[in-house]
Amino acid sequence: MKKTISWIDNNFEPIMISVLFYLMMGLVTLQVILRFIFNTGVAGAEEIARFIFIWLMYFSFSYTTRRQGHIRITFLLDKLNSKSKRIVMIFVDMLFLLFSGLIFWSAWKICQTVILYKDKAVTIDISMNIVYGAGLIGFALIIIRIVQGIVWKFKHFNSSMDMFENIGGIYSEKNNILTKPMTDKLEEKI
Amino acid sequence: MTILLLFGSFIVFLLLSLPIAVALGLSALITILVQNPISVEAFTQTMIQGLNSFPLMAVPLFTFAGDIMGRGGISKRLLDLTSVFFGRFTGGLGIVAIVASLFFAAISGTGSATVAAIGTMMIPAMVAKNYDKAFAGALVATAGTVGTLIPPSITMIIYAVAAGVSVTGMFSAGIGPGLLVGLALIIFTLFISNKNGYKGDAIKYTFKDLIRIFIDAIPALLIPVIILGGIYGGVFTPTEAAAIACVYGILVSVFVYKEIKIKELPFIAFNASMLCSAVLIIIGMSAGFGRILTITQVPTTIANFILDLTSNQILILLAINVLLLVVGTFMETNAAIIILVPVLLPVVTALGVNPTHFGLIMILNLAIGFITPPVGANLFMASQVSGIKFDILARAIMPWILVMIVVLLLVTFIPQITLFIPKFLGVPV
Repeated sequence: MKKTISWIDNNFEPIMISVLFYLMMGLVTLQVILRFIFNTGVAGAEEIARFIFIWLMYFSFSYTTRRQGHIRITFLLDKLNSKSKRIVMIFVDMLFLLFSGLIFWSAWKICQTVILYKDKAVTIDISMNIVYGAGLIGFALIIIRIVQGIVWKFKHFNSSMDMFENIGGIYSEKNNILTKPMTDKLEEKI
Repeated sequence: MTILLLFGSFIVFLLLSLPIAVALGLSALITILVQNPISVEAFTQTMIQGLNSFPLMAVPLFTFAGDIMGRGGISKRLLDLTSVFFGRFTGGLGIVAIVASLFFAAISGTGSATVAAIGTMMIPAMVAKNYDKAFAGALVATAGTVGTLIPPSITMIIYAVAAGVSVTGMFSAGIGPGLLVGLALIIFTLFISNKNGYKGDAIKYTFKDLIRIFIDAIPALLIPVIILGGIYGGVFTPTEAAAIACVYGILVSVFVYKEIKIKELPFIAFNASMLCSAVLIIIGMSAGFGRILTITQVPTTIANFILDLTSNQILILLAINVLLLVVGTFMETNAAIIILVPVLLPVVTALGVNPTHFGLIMILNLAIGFITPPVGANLFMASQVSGIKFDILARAIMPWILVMIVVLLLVTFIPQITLFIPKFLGVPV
């Protein structure tokens, strides 16, 4: 059981990301080929590709949160001593959590409104929740990932700064099923 | 009041080291709570819809294409080919690195990818020919900046989306400034090489060698032809070109150069998505933030304030250049563009500056940030692929920054450098 959860924890978003990426790429390419060679196209293909893109990105946001990979400005933070830096970082995560909670809650309300008024996408007969649902699920995942991060930081409060920050998820990622290319071993050293 | 609340809280959150995306979102939510310009739901809705954009889709696709083609294979063949032409001259290896960077930039969409691909091979090669190590590192780091100027370019797509201009227009406008940077760097390299006596590499190629090197490079050379030819020829949109580039990249690296195994493909797609997700979350958030800006008319207020101080175009452009150079040293380029475009664009368009031209000014400015210590992504990358100490590189880069600033001033005050090629191609900008 524990093993399964850890496996899902490590691989859920990467698998979704990789599948959605190739779907999106394939759909756009197919559209070009159909137009170029057969002078035709699939109705709504562009819109579906956009929806896939939104979901792709929300899964990526979640995994980026897990890897502590968001872009931030740290020059003030780096001036603090080790202990205050750790406290500020946990506080910042709490703010992130608060924000994501608010967005999740309002995305939930949006999805209900969409159901109530039966909002549809433009070219295909499907509920607009295909778009807003990505935000809802995405922020639910992000919330889980932030909580994981905060737990990690409390657990490793007295460990080295590298371990505490866990940037890139290097200390928490294991048993990934996506095969890394050989060249990446070099990049990791970089 | 709204300005103070929105930007005040934003800056406080930034300094607290909140992720930039969250800093944007939280300051927007605080403004909503206090002044109620729109509802929280409207904010969230705009934020999620911010990603519902066909042009933005090109960002992960071009990232993937650049990534898969940069993993060995292509950069080596480009270097072999350029060595045939320039290797024998004084300062030849430096020129080879610069020209190969220009070519590689026409394949990849980012600067640091270009530095990694070219630097890994060229810095050791230059050091072996008695080039000063720090000079070699600084050269490659600076040449990498063309990665964001020569199309395709992720940064240009992001500017186009933020400013509401055409991606194709940006792509064609980047060629002029990109080539100008290349030319300026080559002149500077020649100057230093003559002074320090960096000899060329007089390899005698047999005819057979030449044919082999050229044939080997054909699949790599075809990429810019397909991508740019397709976009300017009106065959496909930039996003479609990006998807085609991905498919082509897979075919070439898996089946022709055989540097990538099929089982590695899922990871590369995941990796490309991760590389751009940190920027795309900021774009989504800035859509919501931007809606508050528009409703409360903050950009107009700021523009009027600045234009009241002076409406001298040269003065304002110079001031903006200084601001961007400073911002570029501590903030990620794409993030800086997303945040600053809505505020700065109304000011310069009021002065009659073309939005596409302004995009190039911004991007070139922030590209200088890539090579400016203390942060400088390209400098870090060059330091890491070559093993040169960062502070030594940080000193050696200074003359290169000056060269780039000269180019920046030329691009800023001679719009033709940017707008000549779009006009020539008949692309509206």
